[in-house]
Amino acid sequence: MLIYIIYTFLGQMIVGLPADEREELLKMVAQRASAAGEMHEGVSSPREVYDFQLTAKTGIEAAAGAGMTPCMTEKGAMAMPAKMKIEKKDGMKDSTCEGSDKATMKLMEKMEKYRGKIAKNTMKLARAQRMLAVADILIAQGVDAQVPASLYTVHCVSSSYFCKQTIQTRCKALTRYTILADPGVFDGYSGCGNSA
Amino acid sequence: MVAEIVPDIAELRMMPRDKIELKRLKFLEKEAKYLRKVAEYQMDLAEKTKDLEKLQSVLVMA
Repeated sequence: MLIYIIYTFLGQMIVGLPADEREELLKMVAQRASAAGEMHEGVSSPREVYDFQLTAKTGIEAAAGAGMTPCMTEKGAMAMPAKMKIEKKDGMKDSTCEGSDKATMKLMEKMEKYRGKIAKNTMKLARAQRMLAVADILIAQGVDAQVPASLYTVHCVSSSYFCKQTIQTRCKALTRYTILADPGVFDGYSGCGNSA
Repeated sequence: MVAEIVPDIAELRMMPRDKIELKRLKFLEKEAKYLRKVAEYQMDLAEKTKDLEKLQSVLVMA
């Protein structure tokens, strides 16, 4: 800010000088500035300040070119924040959309994962149920018992449906082979109307 | 699945009765375990489905 003020003051001084003196002064200032190793963002030399003063451009482009803050009119002052506000709103909307998209994707991935796990465990459940039914038959009839063909195949994907199927199969098997060594083992089938 | 279960049944046939009973108990355990797992995952899936519906309704409102 201080440097800006100095440069502005310097520029105003330079405008009032004759051409040769102005050139000399500008050279001297430039030399001193470079000797001091003074680096500044925006206005890099007194020449730029001078050029800026001469053209007297107060627009945003001119200010940006000279690296100075332009003097704002009322309209400009009102327009800038409004523009920034709109940009900010758009940015927020974009980020919100991105966030919700991400969340949706994440949820859908999780749902897919759970579906896979359900399918996998349903298959395992079906297998355990079939083996259980086979074991029941073998216990009831002996190791030479004939296992129904239905137990060799998978009937469905739905676990609830398969549970129903397997229980029915087990009930049928028990109805057919009523030799039960230990009635307590088959407590689970009392609902099927089979009692030892 | 048929090919998978046939050797298991053959293996079961070769076992003595007490071992078959033991195996039966193991299958019972497995049945309970997988039933539980399926139920748990179904609950999780229902929860996630609900969350997704909620999120989508919020998006529609926005």
